[in-house]
Amino acid sequence: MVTQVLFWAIVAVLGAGQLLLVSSAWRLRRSDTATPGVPRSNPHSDLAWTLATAALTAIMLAFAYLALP
Amino acid sequence: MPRTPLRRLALAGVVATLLAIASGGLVSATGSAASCPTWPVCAEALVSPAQPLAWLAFGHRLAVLTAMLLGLAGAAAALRAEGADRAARWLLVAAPALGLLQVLGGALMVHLRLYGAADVSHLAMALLVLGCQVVALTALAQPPAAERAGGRAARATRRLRSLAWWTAGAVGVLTLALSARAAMAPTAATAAPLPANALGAGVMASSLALGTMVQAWRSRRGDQLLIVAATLLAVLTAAQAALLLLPPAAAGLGVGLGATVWGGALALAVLAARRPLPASPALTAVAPARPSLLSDYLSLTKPKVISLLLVTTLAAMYITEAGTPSLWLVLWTMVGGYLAAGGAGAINCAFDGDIDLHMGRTSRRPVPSGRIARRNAMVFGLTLSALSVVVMLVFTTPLATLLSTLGIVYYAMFYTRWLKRSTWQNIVIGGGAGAIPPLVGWTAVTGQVSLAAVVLFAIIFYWTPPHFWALALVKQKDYARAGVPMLPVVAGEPETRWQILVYSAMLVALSALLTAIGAMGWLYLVAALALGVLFLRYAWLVWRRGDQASIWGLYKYSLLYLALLFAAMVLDRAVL
Repeated sequence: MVTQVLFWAIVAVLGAGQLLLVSSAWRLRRSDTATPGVPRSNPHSDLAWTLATAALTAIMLAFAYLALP
Repeated sequence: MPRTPLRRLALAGVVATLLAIASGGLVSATGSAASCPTWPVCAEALVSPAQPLAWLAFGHRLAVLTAMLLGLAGAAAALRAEGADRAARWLLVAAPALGLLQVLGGALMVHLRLYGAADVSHLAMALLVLGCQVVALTALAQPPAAERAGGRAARATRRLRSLAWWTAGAVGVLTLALSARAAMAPTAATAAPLPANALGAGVMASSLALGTMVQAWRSRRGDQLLIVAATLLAVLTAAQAALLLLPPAAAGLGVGLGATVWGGALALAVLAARRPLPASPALTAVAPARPSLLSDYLSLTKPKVISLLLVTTLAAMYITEAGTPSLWLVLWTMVGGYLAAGGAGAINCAFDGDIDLHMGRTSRRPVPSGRIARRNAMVFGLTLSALSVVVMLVFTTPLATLLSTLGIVYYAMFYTRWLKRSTWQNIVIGGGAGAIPPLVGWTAVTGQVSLAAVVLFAIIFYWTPPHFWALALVKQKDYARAGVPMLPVVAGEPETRWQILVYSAMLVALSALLTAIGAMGWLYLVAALALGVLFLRYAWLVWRRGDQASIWGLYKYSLLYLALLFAAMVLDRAVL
């Protein structure tokens, strides 16, 4: 029971955090604050990496759920 | 030395705590606590005066009582001494509070029948109490130097101080390991789950103490006190490590010596920071203007970065379900890990020569400064990498070899050649390279990857952004000049500070996952949450203030956090 509560609390924090990060990446995709002389990030690539991180984290949490005692 | 009542009380507190720890070591080694079942008064000693074991236990309790009373008196005096050093005053107040926690925690663990944890935590807390008192006493006795050192002198001082702190930490671990070894004597069978192998800790502590001594001789040749203290520290640490040759039951004798060396190392660290620099030109005379070729090649391997990677590898090896690995396996995994990380680092130096040239932090590296040709750095890196594959393949498991090789390719090619120059997600995704070492350690022992090992990977993966973005915030002009699209350069400071906070919160949550899936116990969870709260505090300060002090605070604490988090895993596995 305690481990279940702990697990879902972790999921909540990681889920909220990933949502914030994806929204940041989405916002930065449209921003135009590039410093002169610095190669600008590829916005599609930035967003793709952010989504990939979120997806891999979700997969890890799914395996963790299956492994709960 | 003691001129004021506060200093006298601090000194008396240090002596009493040392006596309490030394007598506690003897009690643990002889199992004499069993001769004195009544608590807190040992009536058996008074009723049967012929029982030496009961008297030993009684003497320990008297020493603890004396130490507690002196600690309380010191705290009261510190609260009144408004003109004294602020940090010293608070440390003297903290000492009896920690003593009280020690008693309560010990009672709770005994009540829960966690005898192994009680034994280790009892001594650990006592060492913390002693540490508070020693640091306070040294700070009271040695006020900070009036003038601040700059340039090379400041670097040398930082190095000496850092070595002394690390030595103190290693001596603390060695002392705990020696105590555990003593407690495993047949007279104390309840302590059977404690770790008995203190050899690694002994080697580590002796090496660090030797390094401290060498650094003191190099940088403070005119300061007799520091030279003598550092030399004595090296000799005593070696003597303490030599106690491993004694039978386990006699190892309790080493607890008192260990506590003395622990206090000495802490005092040396404080002295190194506060003593004025010697007037003689020794400091500037000893450091060569140009590094040797050997040290240049060594620096290509980025030894400072590797040390943290190896800590995570080592810790992972000791927390698998396969039990304690053999020392040979640990040794060869460390050698292979160093070669792999060092090889990847050298290849990175060869590829990044153009970037390093434009950054103050890296412009003096061997490749950008022209001391080592880019081609030679590449050959060196590839050679180390090839050697690492051979070492890992021969002495560890195929999967560990594969992961170690993957780490080299990930860092040297995927991160260095592509990610670093193309996206502000560079250190987020690139953090995967630094997260591979615990997987290597884990698979070197078990031969397979499990969920717990993946969580270790994820912890370092999520730790990387707050850590490196803190550095990037400080060095963002360098990164902009070098053309590297780090997040502060591309998206600005406020966005970076915000993402640091978000990643920090996720990191702290993720660190608790090991307990949720049953891979770690509650001891680890408490440590992870305590360390995490502090991490969040630093991240919060970075977000709210964003000044250099808070950013450096986060950067430095993040290093300590990772090392302590993995140490907590080992401790949890060892005692529960």
